[in-house]
Amino acid sequence: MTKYVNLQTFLFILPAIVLVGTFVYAFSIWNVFISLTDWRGLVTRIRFVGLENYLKLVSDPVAQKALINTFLLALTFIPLTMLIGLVVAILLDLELKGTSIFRTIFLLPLSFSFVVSATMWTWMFSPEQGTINSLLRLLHLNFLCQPWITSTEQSLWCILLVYVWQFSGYVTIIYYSGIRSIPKEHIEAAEIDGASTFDKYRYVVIPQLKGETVGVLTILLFYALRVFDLVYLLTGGGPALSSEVLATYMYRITFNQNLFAYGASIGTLIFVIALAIMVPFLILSRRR
Amino acid sequence: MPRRIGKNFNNVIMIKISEMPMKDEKRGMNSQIDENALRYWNGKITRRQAISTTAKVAIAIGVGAAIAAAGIGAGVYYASRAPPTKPEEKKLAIYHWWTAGGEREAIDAVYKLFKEKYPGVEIIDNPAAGGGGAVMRAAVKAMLLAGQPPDTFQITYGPGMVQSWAEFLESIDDLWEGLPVPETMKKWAKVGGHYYVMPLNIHRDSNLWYNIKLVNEIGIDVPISTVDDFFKACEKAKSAGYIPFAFGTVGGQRFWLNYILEWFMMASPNGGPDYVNDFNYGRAHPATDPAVKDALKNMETLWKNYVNSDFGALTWDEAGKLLMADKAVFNYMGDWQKGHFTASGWKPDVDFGWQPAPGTEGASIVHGDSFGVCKGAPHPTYAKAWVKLLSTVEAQEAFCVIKGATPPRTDVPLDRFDPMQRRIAEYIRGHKIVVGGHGVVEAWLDKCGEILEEFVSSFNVDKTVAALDAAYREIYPKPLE
Repeated sequence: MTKYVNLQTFLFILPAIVLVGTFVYAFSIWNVFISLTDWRGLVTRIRFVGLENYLKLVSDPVAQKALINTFLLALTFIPLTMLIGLVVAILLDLELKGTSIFRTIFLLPLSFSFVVSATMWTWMFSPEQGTINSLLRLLHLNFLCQPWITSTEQSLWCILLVYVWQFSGYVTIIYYSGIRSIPKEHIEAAEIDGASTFDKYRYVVIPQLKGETVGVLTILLFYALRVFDLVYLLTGGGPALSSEVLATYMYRITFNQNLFAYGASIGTLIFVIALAIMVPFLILSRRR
Repeated sequence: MPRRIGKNFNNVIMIKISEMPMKDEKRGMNSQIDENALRYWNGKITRRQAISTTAKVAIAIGVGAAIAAAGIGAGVYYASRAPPTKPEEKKLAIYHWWTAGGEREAIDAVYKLFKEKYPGVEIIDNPAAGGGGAVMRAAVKAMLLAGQPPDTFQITYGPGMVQSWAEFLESIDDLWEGLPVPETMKKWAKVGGHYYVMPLNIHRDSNLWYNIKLVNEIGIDVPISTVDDFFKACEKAKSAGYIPFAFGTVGGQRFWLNYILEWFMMASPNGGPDYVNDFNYGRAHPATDPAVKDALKNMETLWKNYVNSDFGALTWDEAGKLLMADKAVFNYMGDWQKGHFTASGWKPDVDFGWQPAPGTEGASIVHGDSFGVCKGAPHPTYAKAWVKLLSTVEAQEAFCVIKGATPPRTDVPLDRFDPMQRRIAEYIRGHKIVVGGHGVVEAWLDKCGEILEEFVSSFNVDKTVAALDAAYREIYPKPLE
């Protein structure tokens, strides 16, 4: 049979190679190519302009703002989500009272699509008629009412809140399954040595979750860099660009302003940033 | 598991290598081809078998590549070949963004007329909701660039929009002969001396809507004729505890701010209707034109004092609902706000009132919706029949009565329209027409909205004028025709 292995393997992966090759790699290269032209949507005459779009990108204040916001969001979203996910996973592992109900409640946001959760949160955040402020007024806590997504200072943090809310459940699942797959003997040994519950997690469990941490970090980083749906639906990047991120700016430039080439250069920028962070990170985590 | 199999496999090969004569030791040991050679050497298979297995792999790869190439080739051929020679199918593929209540019924009324005139022709309806047409435009752009045009699609009626699509449309000069449409509006359909689209309806953008009950309660005299009086009325409403001015720009709707800029530029003594028209044709100089600064200063007054604080969380219709809930007094919006009010059970001239925006007396800012015949349309006969139908009195009447819009033809009788819509239509017919709102170049819609959104939180007039000027010069390198 061995002589067919290579042929069979090849045939089985052929569709995947063709599809991924076309729609991921070929179009990534195509995207870079477009970013070096002056293509403006419907205008079919295309001229090669070299790095002009990238030079424009460097001096574009909106792009800078979007870049800063993307990083701000990633740098707060990832640690916060991982921390909450880990704590909840540990709480679930402790099997306190009502764990199963708590588990369902906490994992529920994961089953919502971004569109559903964005629409729901838009209603909740609305300063005049929204659930949050209405509830606060009902409890006579008017001083706690906030303008939420309509304020330039708060909009980005509102998005962060929704993001963390939606993703912590996911991180919890990964960590919970990680904790559960740690051999019982390790924990029992720690218990015999007289370790407290805190010590047990601090010195036995958490150090063994390295693999899960790398996986979670990779996926969260990926989502943080290409964040689009929630921002687009919650605030559209506003008010006054306060929550504009690279992906929403790219969409606007490409489809609302018809600057396809300039949009492509923003796409390439996102791609390069992702590569610059992920490649060293993956190499390092492999070595360990 | 896989790792272990690998090891065994290597062990097998290692044994076989040890059995091999020295001269062949240099050969590789992992590939299919070398393994066959090995088997042949060991006498397990014949020379013919060894070659044939190797050849099978090569042939399989070749066949796979050939199938893929043939598939792609056929696709490309199919996409690029000229319209089929077989007789034209009795179909009409339409793309539009009319999905909301009132809009849907309006387009259905025109479909009904089309089916009466051309029985047996199947209408392939492709509504794409969202973004004031941005979603549909993105879809149609992709189709046009791929060389797969629809028959006809909705185009916002204004010179900027029409000129950006004209390249993909057939000229329809014959359908325009003798049409009683106001001269100013006729020009919008023309590019390089030829007509490319046919308007079905027009909307008036520059309207002030008010809650009649609140206006009476607070003691505001309507109609209000100047911007100063309007601000005084707002002040009264504010001290009575109401939101003076309801507005909404959530998500992608920042372009409504452009409408306010147009209003105040028109009301400015340095601006006026002709200036706004020039502005939207790309003939203005925002950096030095005093009307832009005047308008921004008025926007500052309005936003600092009288707009609902959650304007960034509301859509235009949610802002309208603030009037309906007796929370807000005024709203500035196109006449589709009237359609929204009446559809929600609010009565014109009883619950809500209309007037031309203060300071814009004597002119209307308008834009409309139109359709053209695509170059290379798969069903050109019916595409043209559709556009021809839209130019008729009966189609424009049927559509506009339901949608709450004004027919572009001046000979469409207005007796079927409700009294308020009739007044709006008569106002448009009897006064100067200025292109505005959505009829501008698409990129300006988004960019100007972005800059103004920044302005209504920073209120930095000089910075905003500079930003508007830079964007304007980039988007309008030369004026429109």
